[in-house]
This record gives sequence, C-alpha cells and structure tokens, in this order.
Amino acid sequence: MSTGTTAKGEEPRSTAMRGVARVTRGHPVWSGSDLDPGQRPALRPMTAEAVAREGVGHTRQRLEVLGRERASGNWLPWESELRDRGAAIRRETLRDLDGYLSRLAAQLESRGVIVHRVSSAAQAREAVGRIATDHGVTLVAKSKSMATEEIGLTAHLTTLGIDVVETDLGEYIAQVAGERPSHIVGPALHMSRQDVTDLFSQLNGDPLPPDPDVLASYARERLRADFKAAQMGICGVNFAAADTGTLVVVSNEGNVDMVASQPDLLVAVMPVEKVIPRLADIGTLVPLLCTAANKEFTTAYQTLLSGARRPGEIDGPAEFHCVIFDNGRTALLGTPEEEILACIRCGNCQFSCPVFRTLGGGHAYGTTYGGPVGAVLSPLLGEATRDRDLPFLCSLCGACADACPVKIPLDDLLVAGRATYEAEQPRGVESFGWTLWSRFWSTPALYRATRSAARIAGRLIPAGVLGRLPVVRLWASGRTVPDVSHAGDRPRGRSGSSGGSPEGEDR
Amino acid sequence: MTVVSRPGTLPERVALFTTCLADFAAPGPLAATIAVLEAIGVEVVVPRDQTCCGQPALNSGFPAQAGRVLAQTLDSLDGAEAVVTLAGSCAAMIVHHSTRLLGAEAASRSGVRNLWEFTQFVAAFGEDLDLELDATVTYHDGCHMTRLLGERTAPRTVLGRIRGLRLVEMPDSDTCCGFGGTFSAKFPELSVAMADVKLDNAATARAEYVVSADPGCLMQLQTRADAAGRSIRTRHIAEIVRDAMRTPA
Amino acid sequence: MSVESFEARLRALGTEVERVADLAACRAVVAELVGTSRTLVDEIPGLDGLDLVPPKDPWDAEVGISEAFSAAADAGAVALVQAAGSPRRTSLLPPHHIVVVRAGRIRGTYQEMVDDVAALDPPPTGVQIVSGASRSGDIESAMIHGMHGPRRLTVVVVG
Repeated sequence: MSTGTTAKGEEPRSTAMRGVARVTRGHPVWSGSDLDPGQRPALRPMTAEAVAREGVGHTRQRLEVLGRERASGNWLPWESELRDRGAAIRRETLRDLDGYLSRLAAQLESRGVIVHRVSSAAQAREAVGRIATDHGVTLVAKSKSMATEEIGLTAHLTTLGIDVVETDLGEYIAQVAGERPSHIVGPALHMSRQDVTDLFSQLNGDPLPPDPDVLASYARERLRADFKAAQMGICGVNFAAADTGTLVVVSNEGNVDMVASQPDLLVAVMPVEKVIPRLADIGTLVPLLCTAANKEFTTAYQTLLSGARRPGEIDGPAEFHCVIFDNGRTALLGTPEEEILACIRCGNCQFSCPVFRTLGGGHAYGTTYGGPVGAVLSPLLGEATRDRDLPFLCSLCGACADACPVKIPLDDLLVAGRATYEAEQPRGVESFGWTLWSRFWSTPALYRATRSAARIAGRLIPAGVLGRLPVVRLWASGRTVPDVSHAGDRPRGRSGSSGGSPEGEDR
Repeated sequence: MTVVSRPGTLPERVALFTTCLADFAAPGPLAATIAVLEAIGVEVVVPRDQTCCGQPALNSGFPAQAGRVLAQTLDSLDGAEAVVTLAGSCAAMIVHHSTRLLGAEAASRSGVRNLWEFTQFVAAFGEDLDLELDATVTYHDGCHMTRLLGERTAPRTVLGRIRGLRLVEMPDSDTCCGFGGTFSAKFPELSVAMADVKLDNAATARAEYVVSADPGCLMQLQTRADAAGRSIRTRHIAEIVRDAMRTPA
Repeated sequence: MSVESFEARLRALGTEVERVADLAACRAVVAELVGTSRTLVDEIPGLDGLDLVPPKDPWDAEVGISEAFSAAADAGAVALVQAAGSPRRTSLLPPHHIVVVRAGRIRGTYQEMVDDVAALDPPPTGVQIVSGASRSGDIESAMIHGMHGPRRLTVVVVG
C-alpha cells in the first residue's frame, strides 16, 4: 500500500492522498516503495518476472520511442559543444569537493540558510525529521528528488506521524500506486494512460475518463489544496552553485516554485556531488540536462534559491534548511569510480539501455537508481548490501556511454564494478572455475584439448542431454544448443601455414 | 584507447585470429573469411597457438584471468604484419582493453596494433572484388564493433559493393541483440526477451538473411529463432561476401 | 540578437507575445489583457496606478503581472527577480501570467541572461527563470498544458 497515509491509518491530512485506501491496484513486491533495501530479491528471478509481466512490451516500446528521439551517440554540433563544456565543469569540483561544499555552505549561511552537512542516509533523513517535528509539521508538500528516495525520507517521516505528498505528477502517480519511481526523470513512464486512469478512478471512488488532461486536472486540484495547507516544503537540488550559494532546481510543472515559496518552512536535500563551481555554469548545465533528459532546451521553470525570506518579502521560506549528505560518495574521490559523481541525473542512459527498456523500466533493478547509472552507483553507496551484483545486469552494449551528456564511461565502470564484486566474494566455485579456465586457455595444448572435448561431446551426446548440463542449460532455456561437433575444424589458408610454428595436425 | 595503425598498402600475408567462439561453433564463417581474404590477394596463416581474447573472463569480473589468456593469444600473433578477425566484439575487446589488462606495452603488440576487423579490411582492400548476389538482407550492427571499436560504416560499405544485393534496414539495427557474452547465461530470460525484440525488428525487413559481423550475435539470434520456431536465417557477412564472389577463390 | 528572434522563440514555445512601442502602450495592452480579472501585480516602474481588481485571497487571483530583469532570445526565457516588491506568488498562483520585458534587457543567449543573474550582488533570495507555461509529460509522455504553475503566459515587449 502507498505511503502518505498517517501512521494510525486515519484519513490522510493530504487532500491529494484522500481515498488512497481504496487503491487496490497490485504491483510486484520489487517495485514497491516499501521494499526494504536489504530485502531486494535476487536479480535473476526478479528480471525473469519483469520481462514476463503483462504490458511490459508496451512500456518497452514507449521507452524505445523516447530513446530514439534522443538518438544516443548522435549529438548535434551545438549539443556536442555543450557536452564538452559540461563534462569539464562537472569534474572541476571533484578536485576539491570539500572546498566547494564549504564555500557553498558559507554563502548559504550568510543569507540565513541553515546548512546541515551529514554523512549517512540515516543522518540525512533524521535531520529532516527533526526539523519537521521541531516545528510541529503534520503535512509536507514535496517536489521530485531522487536523493530523498535514496535516503528513504518519506517512509521515515511517515513513521514520525507526518504526512508527505509528492507534487510532481509522475511522482504523485507512483506514490498513489505504492511504487518507487521507474525512471529518473519520468517516474510513471512504466504506466499506460489506462493504468493511470484505473489508478485515479480507484482513488476517486468513481470512474474517470482515460484523458491525460482530465487526469492531470484531477491531480492538480487536489495537489493545489496541499500546497496551501502544507507547513513544510521539501525539494531536491539539480545544481548548487558554490560562488553565490544558490540552489538551482528545474521543473516543468511549477511545483518546485510552489513548495519553495508557499509553506513557511523549506528543506532542500542534496547529495554532495550536486555542487558546481559557479552559478554562471548553469548556462551550460541547464540546457545540457534538459536536452539530454527531455529534448528541450530548458524546462519551463528554473528556480534559483539563495536565501531565506528578507524583511519586506511576503513569501518564500521564513526558515530555510539545506541538508547535504554523503552516503559513500567522498570515498570514491581519487578512484576511477569518482567519474560517476559527474552524473547530472538526466536519465538518458536509462532511455538508451536495452536492458532497462526490456525490463519495462527501473523497478527490476530493485533499488533507488536503476538502469546504467544505477548499476554503477548503487553498489557504491553507503548502505548497499544486496546491490553489489548490479553491474552484471547489463549486456555491455555501450549505448549508455554514448548517451551520457557528461561523458561518464559507464560501460568501463560496469566492467570494473564486476571485478570489484568478484574480488569481494570469498574464493569459491566461480573464482576457481575462471582460474582453471585461464590456465587451460593460456596453454595451447590444453585449449585444444577442451576443443576436442567439445567436439566429441557435440558428436556423441544428444542435444537434449547437452542442454541439461550445468551452464549449458542456462543457455538452452529458450535457445537451441549450438552445434559444437566441428569444434577445432580450423580451416587453413591455401598455403596451409600456421605462420612459422612447427607443424602438426591443428586439432 | 589504443591507436590502431593502418598501413595503406595491402599486406602480403595476414594472420587470422579465429576467436574461441568461431573455433567452437562457427567453422562456416571462418572458411568464408579465408576465402575472401585470399580472393583479395593475401596469404592467410592461422597461428596454431592462438586461443581467446579473454573477454569472457573480463566480463565476468576476472580481469587477471582474462589478461593471462589474452597474453597467450597476443604471443601467437606476434610478428604478424596484419591480423584479421571475423568477430567485431573480439576486435573491440583487444583494441579497447589490452593496455588496461597488460600494461601500456600491449599497444605495440602485433595483435593489437595491426588488428583489423574483417569488414574494415575488406572495405580498405577489397574494392576490386567482383561481387554479385541476388538476395535481400538486413543488417544487425553488433554493439561492441559499433560502439567500442567505433566502426559504423565498413559493413555497409562492403555490402554496398555487391551488385544485385538489396539491403533493407531494420528498425533499431544497432540495439543490442541480448547476447552480452556471459550475460546470456546469467540472465537467460532477459537475454531471450532482448533477442525476441531484435528478431521482431529483423522480421519487418522481410529479408532472406539477417547479417552481422559477430558470430556471438548470430549464435544468439539463430538459436533463439530455431527454438521459437521462427524461419529467420542468419549469416555472417563473410559468408555473404564469399557467396557473392563471381571468381571462385 | 533581435527582438524578432526573441518573439519567434516565445511563440514557438506557446507563449503569447505583444510588442508595444512604449510604456503608455504597454499600460493599454495590459489593461486590455486583464480587464476586470482579479490581479496580482508587482511593483513595476511605469506600471503603477493601473486600475486593477485585487483578489481577496492570492490563491484566487486570475492574472499576475511581473517585469523581467533579463531575458534570453535563444531560450525564449525571462528571468524574474523575487524581492520585496515582486513576490513569488505573482508568477505562480494565477492561471495567467503576464511578463513585461524592456527590449533593451533581451540578451541573445541563455548564458548571457544567466550571467546577468549571477552578477547580482548580493544574490536575491529567489530568482525564477520562465520559458513557457507550466506543463507535464508524465502520463504516457502525452503533453499536458497547464500543471501547477500558470497555463497561459503572455510576454509584452516594450521598446
């Protein structure tokens, strides 16, 4: 069931969440917003279930259309220039992340923002929780933030008896459905308009027509009441400029402006890598982000927040907090993995990924961030335990690296992530197997022996039996067993030469 | 990124890097590769002691083991003026990962510096081949060759030289077929689902053959098509070129 | 940079554009656009004393009128400084937002407009950059016009 109901199960304080108890639409346990990070199912059964779900083909096709529009790897000349500059800007801060964060914090504090620098996800959500309880907050209106998903903020506030409502339309849909966001930029892309219609009809108690305008109006009216009533706003941060101390948040809906201006209390939550050197850098980074994420030059709104309400101002937060958390990131600095900190959360890698698309979105990664960025980042974050094998959920096609607007070598990082995983495992069957393989296949006579063995097996053992052998049977579920009965029949050139080595039969 | 040297003149002799996959399961494309290279006018030698590029181990998270096997193969190719391989993904593996696995010196080994993927070689040196084939084909761009090796044009250049050949493009021709090496065994249901997407796209081209330059992709697609009872036939581009050779090798 | 290119870009994004020669004409256009609608209006030099009907509750306002601090032709964007005489609600709560832009404030590029904003010292507590009315593509990527912010944006270019 969805979060947003009060801890006691009473009628929600949020107008937008009223009726959520009527929602019975099911979803797999692994797409739920209540999935305990430590309880993620194993990847293989989860992905097997995902590709067989009804409607996954339609979701895949929608994601393919979005991927084609973005034509990963085919950056136009002006986009390429932007990409070059953006990639450089994003790595500037990695030289001295702490220095930039200190400057950012000092600037924000000079204009009345209370800055909380914390380390873990738990410390981050507890800091927000304390701010809320200190002010007797009962309803929070929230704009979209993957960082707040990462730290499990909504669930934490709910346990404190505080109602939280997502105001971004896609996040709101996911919240009503009790699911995590499916894609970094489009949280509800895994749902068709009929799915949303059915969902809102259940919420409403009466059927609504399958018309996106009507459905959006329905959501708008209910959420507007929450913007008015909420005592606290929570927003994410796209970029935090260190030189002026400005938090930059982009949106198309205007909900960021709402949560950052109407309640008297605002909390902005950001992970450390959002800091950028200069506010002027958004001249590059905003068009780069919006082009990669949404094929638009800019979003409808860029909201720049630099301080708490000054005397004479009648709106904007009277009290403004900024929570900056780490959750494992600074440990990456100085290693090849620090490259993932350049990410600007555009979601283009997800659109470009055939695995992500075929799975019907990010849920089947079982973690906050799915797709290529998630497969690299999730294993590196502070509390990840079961996520360390995510780099294997990838066919290494490389489309993500082409799609990345800040040139993160995602495919290389995925290969490295696999080696990291295996190095952490106790020496077992797999490690022994590959070491044995490497001895055999670095010794020509032994390589030839395995070839002969395959040749014999291919000739003597019926395919049906071969297909039940370990490893082979993984291939054979859905594919025929390749014919290896000619293994070792290396044809020769006309000259018959093997290039200078002493001859014998090439078997 | 290793820089591959490109001699402007036709080498007298090339070493064929067969790849483990072709050694085990794709003798047809190997024979076709040799036939085409000889028709171009080079002597083909097949170094006996070559094994594998190491990709299966690297992609499984065992880089040291991968390096050991790659080193053996590079040893067997030392001294070759030109090396040609019929698998785009193995070419990409060697060009992209050799220095990472074996150090900067690897870049100057013959098997790295002088390595050609088959269509690259034919595109560069096979202009005089007399090629004709009355057939309709569609082409699947294998991921590693396209993105890791950066070779996007050679295959179609080669196909374009075959008189009478009709190339019908499929949608999303450069989307992954789902093979991914060991990925295909770690996530079989997902890998098969990806193969089905590719086969559906290929079928819309209504071609006689689905052609590619990677035996791995071809194996993935053909074995899935066979198991699913689909009539799709795959063929390695070397076999198409050999089929089209008017003057027999 | 040409004012014409700014106007073209605005229109391409679905923003309405009115071009007037001077403040007097601007006052006339605004009065016509607003009529008797309940209006929130910022303190805009030259636009004071307009005969406008204020809302009892800002949430019930029908029109909001702001002046741009800077603008960008390539993005079809305006930058609004939020301060004592120009609260956030003006450009946010009413369904129709009108922005007055002096032609001399229009820059060629988004970067130049951002540079204008970044040069403000001290930074205003809030700046809102607007390039179009609110929208959402969250339901099956279908474009919905008018989400939480205004659904109609009119830019009046003066000069």
